[in-house]
Amino acid sequence: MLTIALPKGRIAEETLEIFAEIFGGEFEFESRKLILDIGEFRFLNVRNQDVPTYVEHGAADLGVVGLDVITEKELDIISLLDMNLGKCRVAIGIKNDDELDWNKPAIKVATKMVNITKNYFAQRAVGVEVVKLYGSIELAPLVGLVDAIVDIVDTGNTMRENGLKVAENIMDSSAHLIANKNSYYAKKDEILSLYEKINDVVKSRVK
Amino acid sequence: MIFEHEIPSGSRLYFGKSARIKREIENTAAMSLEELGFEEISTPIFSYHQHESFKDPRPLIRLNDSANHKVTLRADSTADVVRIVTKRLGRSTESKKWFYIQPIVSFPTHEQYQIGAEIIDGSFEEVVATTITLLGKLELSPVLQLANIRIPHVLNQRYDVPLEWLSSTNIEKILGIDLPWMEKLVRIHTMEDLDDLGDFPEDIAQELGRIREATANIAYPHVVISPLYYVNMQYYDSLTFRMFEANDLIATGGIYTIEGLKASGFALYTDECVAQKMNKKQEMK
Repeated sequence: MLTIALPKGRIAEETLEIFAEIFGGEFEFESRKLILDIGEFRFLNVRNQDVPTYVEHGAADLGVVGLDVITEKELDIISLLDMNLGKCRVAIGIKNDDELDWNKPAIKVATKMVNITKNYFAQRAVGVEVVKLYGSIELAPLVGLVDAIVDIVDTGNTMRENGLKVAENIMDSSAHLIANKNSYYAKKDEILSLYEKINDVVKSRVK
Repeated sequence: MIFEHEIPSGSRLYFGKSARIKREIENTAAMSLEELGFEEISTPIFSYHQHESFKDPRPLIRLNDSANHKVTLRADSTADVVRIVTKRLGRSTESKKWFYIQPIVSFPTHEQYQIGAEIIDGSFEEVVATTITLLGKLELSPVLQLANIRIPHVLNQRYDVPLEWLSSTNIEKILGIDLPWMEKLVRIHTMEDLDDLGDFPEDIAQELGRIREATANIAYPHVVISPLYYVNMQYYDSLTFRMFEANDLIATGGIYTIEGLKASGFALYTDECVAQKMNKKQEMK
């Protein structure tokens, strides 16, 4: 039995579609149910940011989660496969009329992704003052709270509609299949067999 | 604000049943190790040499002595035990087998109780057998994972596999390397997978052969082989092992070289053993 943590929403649905393609049958959470048991698999429906936590603590053997979340949390997990789902970017956003001033002693940035932001600016030897926000990040530069934001950019529509533009890309992200360390070593045959099947589907879709 | 009842996050508190289980584990371990010919040692919590054992020194809690020399709190017992036994006690004792029961600490406030043993000139088989015996007495039978840190190092030095991929076990990247035997290496899982090493180049086959030789002398039912497992402690230079139950790491060990001296050792993670024993008692109710 393998337990797999999936992030609520589109990535969970697309991952379950891959499982349906591989194993046949219907892989779908009943409305509001958080656990789905099918054959040798148990799927957990959890928040995106919580997926690595379930995996790192061994409540799930495997998980599907964005590379941005993995990078932000700096967890001790095994990275198995880029599933090419939920592609997006982590980018610096600023007001349309502004330019990012790298000569400031410290740039004030609002973000949910504190570690990614600190590391990016540290690598460029630029001072940064991070303001942690939990949502509506785009609002922060508009009301003068910060100079810039670091956020997920999918189509760019949210930034555009709020009078912001992308100043710089920090990283590309997509959903990755990850494994708990002990689960991987104890159930290597099972996990690598599943890895291979998912990889075949992912590759066939990329073509 | 700190409340009157508060203790730092990551520090350990045992009381009542859990304190009794901890004491029983430590007593059982001490008696068993003495029966096996080990002598006990208790080393200082302050050390001048801890940083030599850590690739990443960030977990070390640092301060300074009266002459402003850098001192750290003990974050690993092995290096200090070996150094003290050979450099400081060398002339006053002939014992080569030592055990200790003491905690380690790391930044910011993480505390971990350990039962450990070091065998100067000891073999891998002896240290694994000692760990298994001890866990048997504690009625624990976790999975035994065997590895050889030389394999990741050979892959890095001779086949240009980035160390970062190996240390983070990035399976997709490792399997993407254009080496005909890489997939077979990644898939090695059981002792039987080591029967035929004919597909591997000589340097890799030699290191896999070391694991095979070790497994031949280990009588234990739950063994997995992980040739690519990357151990972080700098002094390990050949065969290593981990023992785990579900998500709990119960013990680690292996053979190592410290200041030119070959030895083998292990550490049993007392806190995880206490948790396992408490869970079992709970399940039995």
